[in-house]
Amino acid sequence: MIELRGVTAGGLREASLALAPGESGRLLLSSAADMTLLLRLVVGTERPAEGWILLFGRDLAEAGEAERLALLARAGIVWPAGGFVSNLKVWENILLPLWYHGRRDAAGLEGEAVALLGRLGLDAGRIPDFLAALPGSLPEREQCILGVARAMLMDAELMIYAGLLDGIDAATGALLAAEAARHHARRSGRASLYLAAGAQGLPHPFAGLSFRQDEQGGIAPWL
Amino acid sequence: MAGDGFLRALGRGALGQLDASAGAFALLGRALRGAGALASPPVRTVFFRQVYFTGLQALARTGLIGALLGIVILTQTASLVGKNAALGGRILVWAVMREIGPLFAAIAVISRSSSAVAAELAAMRVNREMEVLRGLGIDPLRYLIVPRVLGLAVSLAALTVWFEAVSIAGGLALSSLIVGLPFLAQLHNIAGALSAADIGISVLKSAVFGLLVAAAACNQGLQAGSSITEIPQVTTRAVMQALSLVVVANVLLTVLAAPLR
Repeated sequence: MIELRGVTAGGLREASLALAPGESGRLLLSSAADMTLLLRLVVGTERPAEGWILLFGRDLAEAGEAERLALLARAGIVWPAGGFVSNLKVWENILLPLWYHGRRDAAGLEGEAVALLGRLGLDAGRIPDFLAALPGSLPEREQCILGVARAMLMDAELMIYAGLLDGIDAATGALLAAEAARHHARRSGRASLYLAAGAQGLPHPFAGLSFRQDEQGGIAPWL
Repeated sequence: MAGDGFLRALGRGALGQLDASAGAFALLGRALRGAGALASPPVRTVFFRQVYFTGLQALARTGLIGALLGIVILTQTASLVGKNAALGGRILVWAVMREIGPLFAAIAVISRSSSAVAAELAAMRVNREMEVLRGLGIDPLRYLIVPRVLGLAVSLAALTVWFEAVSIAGGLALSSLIVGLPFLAQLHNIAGALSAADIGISVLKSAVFGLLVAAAACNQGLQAGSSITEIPQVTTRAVMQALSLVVVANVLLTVLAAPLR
C-alpha cells in the first residue's frame, strides 16, 4: 500500500519501509520536521534526494500530477493538528474530499458524521456548533478530531495518521486510538500507518508492526 | 556612475516585472485550460462565492461612484459647451462606455478583491493548506485558482455593465435636476450614440481586465513562502501588478478596437 525504498531526504538516510494491505504499522521518527517531510514526500510537495516512494504499488516520481492526485484520493491523511482549509467551515472541510471526488453528498453523510464525531469524543450538544465553526477558532483537540473524522469518512484504503496523539489529553487520545483501530478493521485490506516524533504520539499498546528512525537516519524495526 | 546604478536598478525592476507578468500569464493559461473544473459542484461553489464577494458585494459602492462620475462628466461638459443635450449625452456615453467604465470597475475590483484574493491564497500557502488539499487528492489549481480567475472575470464584466448603466442613468437624472439639462432629450441622444460595438468592446475589455487582475492576484498569492510577513508583501505586489497589466491592456485594446467603432 505504501513503500519507501532507500529514501534520503531531510534526516532520513536510505530509509525503507513497506506496509502491505491489511497491515498496521507505527513509525517513530526522530523529529517533527522529518514527520512533516515524510508527509510532504507522499503528497508530492517535496522530492527525495534519493530513493523511491510507492503508493498503491505506483512509483510517485513516475506518476503525473493527475495520477498522483488520484492515488492520494485513495488515502486518508491526518495531518498534525488535523490539517484543514481555513476558509471552510468544519462541515465543509469534512464534506470537501467526498464531494470533490463525487463519492458522497451532504445528505447521505450527515448522520454518519455525527455518529463518528460522538465516538471520537465530541458531546452531542457540541456537534452542531462544531460543524458550523471555522476550524481556526477551534481548540487543538477539536481540530485533531476534525482531521481524523474527515479522513475516516473518506473510507480510504490507506490511512496515515501523523502525530495523532500529540498534544491531546489522555482520554481523547484513548478514544482516537481505539476508533482508529476499529476503523482499520472495518474495511478488508485497509493499511494504517501511524507517524510521530515522540513515543507519546503513537498508539500504545499496538498490535501491528513497529519501526523507528535510527541514528543513521534509516528505518529499523522497533523492538 | 550614479546614472549606471540607476539604469541597472531600472533594468532589474523591468526584468522583475516581466518575470512576474510571465508567471501570471502562465497561471492564467493553466486556469483557462482547467475551466472544465467548474463542472465539479465544490468548485462551482467557490466560483459563486467569488462572484458574490467580487460582484454582488461591490454593487452599491460602484453604483454610487458611477452615478457621481456621470454627474461630474455631464456637469463639466455643460460648463464647456453649454446646455447642449446632444453633445453632453454623447460625451457621457463615449467617456463612460469606452474608457472610464471598464477602467473604474477594474480599479474598484483591484482595490477590493485582488488584494483579498492574494492575501487569502498567501495565507493558505503560509498555513500549508495547499498540501492538505493535495493530500485529499484535490488539485489546488482546479479547486482554488480556476474558480477565482473565472469568478473575478465574470464579476468584473458584470460590474462594468452595472457601473456604466448607473453612471449614464444616474448622471442624466441628477444633472437634469442640478444643471437643468433636458432629461428626455439626453436619453434620446444617448440611445442614438450607443452602438453594439461600444457595448461589446466594453464587456470584452472588462472580461480581459478581470482575467488579468485575477491572474496577478492568484500568481502573487501563490508566491508566498512560509512566513506570515510575506502576506502583505504579495498583496501589495498583486495590486501593483494588476494595475500595470490593466493599464497596458487598456492601451492595447483601445488601439486594436479603434477601427471597429
